[in-house]
Amino acid sequence: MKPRSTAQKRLLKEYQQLARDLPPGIVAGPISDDNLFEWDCLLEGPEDTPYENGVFRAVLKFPTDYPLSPPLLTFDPPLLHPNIYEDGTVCISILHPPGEDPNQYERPEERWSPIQSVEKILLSVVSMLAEPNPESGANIDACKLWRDDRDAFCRQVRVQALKALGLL
Amino acid sequence: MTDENTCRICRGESTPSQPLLHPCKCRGSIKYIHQDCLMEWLSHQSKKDKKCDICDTPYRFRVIYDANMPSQMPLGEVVHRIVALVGKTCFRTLSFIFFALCVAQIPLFWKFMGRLFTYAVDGKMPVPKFTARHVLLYGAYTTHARSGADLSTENATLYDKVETFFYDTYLPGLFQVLVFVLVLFVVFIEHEWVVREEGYTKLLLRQIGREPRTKLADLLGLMRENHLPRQAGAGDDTNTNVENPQAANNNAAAAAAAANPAPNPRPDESSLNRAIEDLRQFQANHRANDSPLHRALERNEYGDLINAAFYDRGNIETMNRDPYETENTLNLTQEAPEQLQTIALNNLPEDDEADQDYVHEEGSESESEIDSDTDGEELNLHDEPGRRPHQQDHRHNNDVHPIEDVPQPRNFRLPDAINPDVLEDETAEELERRQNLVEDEMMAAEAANENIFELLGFRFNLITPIQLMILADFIIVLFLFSAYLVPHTIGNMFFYIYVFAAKSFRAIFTSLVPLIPLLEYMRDKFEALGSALGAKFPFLALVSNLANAVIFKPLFDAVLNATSTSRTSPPSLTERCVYLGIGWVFICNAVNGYMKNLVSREKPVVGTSRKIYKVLFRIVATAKVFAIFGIEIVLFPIYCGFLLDICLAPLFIDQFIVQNGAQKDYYLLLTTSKELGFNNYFRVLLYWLAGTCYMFFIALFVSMIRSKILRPGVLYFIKSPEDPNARLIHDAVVKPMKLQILRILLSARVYLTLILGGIGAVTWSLRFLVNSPTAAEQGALFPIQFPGVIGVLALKAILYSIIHDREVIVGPCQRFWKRSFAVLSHKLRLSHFILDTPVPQERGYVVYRNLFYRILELGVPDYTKPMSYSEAQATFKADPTVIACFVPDGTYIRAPSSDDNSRSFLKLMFLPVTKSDHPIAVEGSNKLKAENDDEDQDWWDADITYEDSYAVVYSPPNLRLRCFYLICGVCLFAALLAVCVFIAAVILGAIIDLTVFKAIKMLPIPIEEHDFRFANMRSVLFGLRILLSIVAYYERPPTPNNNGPGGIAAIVAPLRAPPAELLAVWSYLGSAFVLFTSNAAIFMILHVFFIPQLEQYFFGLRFWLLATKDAPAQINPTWIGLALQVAALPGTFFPFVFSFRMIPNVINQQENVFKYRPFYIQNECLIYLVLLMALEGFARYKRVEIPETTFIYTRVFVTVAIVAVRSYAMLQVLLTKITEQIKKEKYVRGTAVENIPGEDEH
Repeated sequence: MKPRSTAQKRLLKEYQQLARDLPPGIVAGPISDDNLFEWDCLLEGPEDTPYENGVFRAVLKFPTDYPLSPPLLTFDPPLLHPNIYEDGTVCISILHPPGEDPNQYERPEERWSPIQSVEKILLSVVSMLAEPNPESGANIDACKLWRDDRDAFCRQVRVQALKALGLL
Repeated sequence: MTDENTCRICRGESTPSQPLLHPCKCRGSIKYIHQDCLMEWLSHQSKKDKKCDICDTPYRFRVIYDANMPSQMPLGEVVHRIVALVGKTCFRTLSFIFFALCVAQIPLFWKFMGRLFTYAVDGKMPVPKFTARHVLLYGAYTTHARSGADLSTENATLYDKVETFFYDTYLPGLFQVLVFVLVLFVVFIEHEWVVREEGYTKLLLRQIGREPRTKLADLLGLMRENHLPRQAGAGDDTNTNVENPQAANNNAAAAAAAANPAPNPRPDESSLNRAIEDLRQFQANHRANDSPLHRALERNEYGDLINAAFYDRGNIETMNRDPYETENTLNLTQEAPEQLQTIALNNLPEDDEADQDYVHEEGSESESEIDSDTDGEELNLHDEPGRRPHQQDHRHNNDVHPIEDVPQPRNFRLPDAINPDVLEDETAEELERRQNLVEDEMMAAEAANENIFELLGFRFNLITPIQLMILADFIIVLFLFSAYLVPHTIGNMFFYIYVFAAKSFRAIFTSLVPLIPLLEYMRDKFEALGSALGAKFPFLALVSNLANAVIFKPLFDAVLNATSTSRTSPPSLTERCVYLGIGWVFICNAVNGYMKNLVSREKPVVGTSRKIYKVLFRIVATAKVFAIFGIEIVLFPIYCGFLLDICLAPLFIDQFIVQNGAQKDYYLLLTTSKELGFNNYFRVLLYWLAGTCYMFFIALFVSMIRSKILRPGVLYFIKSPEDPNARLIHDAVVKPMKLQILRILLSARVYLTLILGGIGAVTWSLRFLVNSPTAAEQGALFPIQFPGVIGVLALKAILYSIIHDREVIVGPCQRFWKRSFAVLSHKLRLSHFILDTPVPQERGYVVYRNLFYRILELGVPDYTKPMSYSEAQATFKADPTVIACFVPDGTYIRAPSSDDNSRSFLKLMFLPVTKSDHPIAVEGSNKLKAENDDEDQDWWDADITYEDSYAVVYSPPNLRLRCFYLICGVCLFAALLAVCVFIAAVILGAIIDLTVFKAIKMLPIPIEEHDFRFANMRSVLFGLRILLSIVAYYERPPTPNNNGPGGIAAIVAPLRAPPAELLAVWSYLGSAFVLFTSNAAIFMILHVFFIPQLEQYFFGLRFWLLATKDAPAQINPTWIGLALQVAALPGTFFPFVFSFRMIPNVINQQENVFKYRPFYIQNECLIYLVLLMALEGFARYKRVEIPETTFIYTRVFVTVAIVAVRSYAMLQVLLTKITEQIKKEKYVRGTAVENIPGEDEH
């Protein structure tokens, strides 16, 4: 399929570039050749975290006006993490639409901008897995658990990781 | 990584049609960008400032013009545009003038209306020889102009007439209108506060009882009976929708039903019945629980608990998280026509209500004002499906009739709450117009100068001003009629009846109500008292005469005049006040009685009387709050200021009694002394300022000693400003008026004592000591002389530096007061009670052997051997070496140890206890039970939780007396401090003042002579500055580098640069000031001096006549003069106006100011100065007399030059602007982003 729109052109470019040198622990690409706007990603859990040894699947959905608007990243199946909603949607500043944050939590330069890329998003997500930010939590239960009972949190995450690998 | 450069947005490469640009400072892979991508991103971002997100470099754009754009714009086009601009400007000027006229007539209308009403009340012209026109124009009391010409004759010139009209009619009218608008604004704000206040609604409901509410379940039942037999199929939707409110009510059952729209589209009727039953049961069950939300909804039914709705909106929203519900319902309407009726039913109540509101709104303005909050609330609810339940609860009655046709759910967007009284121009059209304005503004952002007017609600057309004018005038008539004419008439009628009765039944009447004889007697007595005192005590005579002249005589005369049967003079102002007062008392009593009557019946009050009562209650509550706040914030400081005026008089007035012809003039007030000749408005303002400052100062002092010196809880009776429980509005609304007035009177007495005792006594006695107020000659210290003009400037500078360095005073002051309190409390044996430092020696007194030892306080008693008085006497007899014995007395008491204790708790305080807090049953101290009977009669709503706490402290006998002595002692210390500082300042300052004076005298600057043996204000301030420097020297913070005294640098240290922000603000203001004044100066110089001089030289006439010693300034209107003045306007007036426009720019770009603006403008003044100096120098050098004509020609030259330069500059600017405009409109091909220079190399 010949790319027509800017978004398609850019996504194709990004895919080509990502395919050329893939960061360790990350695999990503469009689900099909026809639809560049939906990507499948596999993320390896970072070491020395409860997510270690897990491989997690996430879906990236790009808007038609990409790269002006940020894509949406959803873990499928949902992952227990303070910054991931219960339906698996990732809440991370780089994925928030550009402009001023009404709550003044995030600086404008932390938010989405066209200079970001899929690669950077995925790297950010991996580092988010390693270092949750409970101050702007998305999943209150996970936040509480992470803060108050780290062991239980780790246990649940490991179970999830095993389930995601089909080992449980 | 690609080697090739790519666009940072689309990742595309550079192509010939789309080259890559680098418009910002970013480097590396994000350096380049396509023009189109950047534009798309910027438009997507829709930020105002177009800059890079990463490096914040503002993008620079270049306008691309058409290649074949002529270098010179076509002349025709330019001329056309200039004509259009001139036409537009003319129209705008006209319309602006029209608008200004419409606004300017308001004070005039006010004054005219007031006078018309006055004469309507009086029934005749005040003075027979005045014509109606005269009275309207100049008022009833003005017969002569300021120049002395009789206005009713032909002697008065036009100038006299205009002057009199301006000063006696227009200016007072303007003041009154301004005060009126201010008062309305304040009333509006307070009204908002009051109706949002919880106590207000509680009080209201207490008076009228809760409205019997319609139960939702009953409503549902009714609906079911009426409609379901016919519309069984729609049951499900009805169920879902109507039950929603209850879902908000935490009802588990109903919530479940509502949250899951039943899968079965057509359930049978029984499900609905069941739901309704559930609902009823739930209501019965939960009545007791009474959750806050439930209560809120319940109260909300009354429609007047707006605040409740505000609190609970959040709750309701969170509970109704299904915004699609209504949408679903509406979708269903399209699918199933037979269900329409149900929807109609659902929509009916709100539409009905909205309609009602709409009519309401348009119907009567006053009512809409009163209901505005409620309306606003309800209307806001209309749009949002999530709030629907809330709204349905709003229904007041259950007479919901079904209608067969389906009204489309309308979305009203009514104007927001309108208060016609406050913002006079806030009509519906106005609001609509404003919305238009906003759109206009967005479209035409370039017209920055017009926006100033537009933001003020002004648009260039001829109809709006007229509408505004009519509205404002209508409000004025309405207000004056109801607040002036009606009460005045009532007051008149009262006196008329009184006089009539007095005439008819004189004998009986005067014996029953001997008002007149009593008043006459009192007046005579008072005058006799004044003259009797005058012989012996000049000062007392002064006071009594002043009081008589200012307060009593006008009052007595007014009443006597009003009651006299044959009157000649028009009623005085005081008399009118008496009339109005009586009228208002009548009206207030009538309203009060009516309100009492309304609520005297069985509660709850329902129907019309309920509505009327609500409205009246709202008005009364607002008036009450307004009155109390007005007294506290305005009248009370004025009262304090007045007292201060009395206290300051002996410092400055040289003579208090001045023989003025046959009679004596008394000066007791600084502001009445002749030299200061204050305007009355200004005087009141001054009083207010002084009083507010004083009160603020006292509050600061109290909070200082409270937090730093005293034991917490000592000042339990003074409310701390930091008290978290303070509810000013609540207290003002809820507490009875009488109690609050009593409280204010109490503080009035306290301040009277504080000011007259603490300041007045000191100043007056000092004055008597230094030189008597009746003495004619000047004393060394008093009266303090006021400095001349140069002195005033010096004074300003010194005052500023004193204010700036005030922080250094705080430390020494605190130490002074700590020490004073320690000394005083120790002497009075109150250290434990006041300072919370128990001193064992204070727990008793010392008995000395005899008076000699007692006075000299020789000998220290053995504190380890306390004994009783008789034992002490016995010891003295037994042992001659013992001089003093220690006799313990007093007791321990419970004293509050926190400043915010509750009132009921305070009643249990001051109970004598042992040291270990066991109550001692003392004879007569039955305080525990004493206060129980009058519990909380003061005000019933005292539901704040206080943190009550107490401490056990030692209390010597006669605690109250000792506290009183302590206060006296504090006053004494304060007076001592003030007097010492003052005298030190006078002595120190005189030296500096003399030096400065001598230095200035050496320069060729004129300065008035001054006798330095007398104290003057300037030297006092100089002295204060030196004292401050000395204090600062000792108070400087110890720095690590500089431990020892740093010489002169340390003294100057407090003069170090002020904080940067302050400096910035000052320099903004300063440059704005320079801009303004320099232009104003040019304006004045040209119009007042130069042009008339030229005129005189060439035509022998002068437009302005300057004030001379013999005659005041006058206008001498001639056509030539007028023409000259107008001709000079482009060079003077427009730059003057332009300088206003410059000010915001100046404030935005501080650096520019110093670069050129003020200097550029001042240069023009400088031309003249330089020329003059050159002439002068030339004359001196050649030792010739320069003829007057040379100066005149110089001025001609300068005037023409300035006007020409300015006109040319303006024309140039205009042409440039027009050229730019034409270019922009005709030849623009697009914009291009410019590369950052110097970044081209890779």
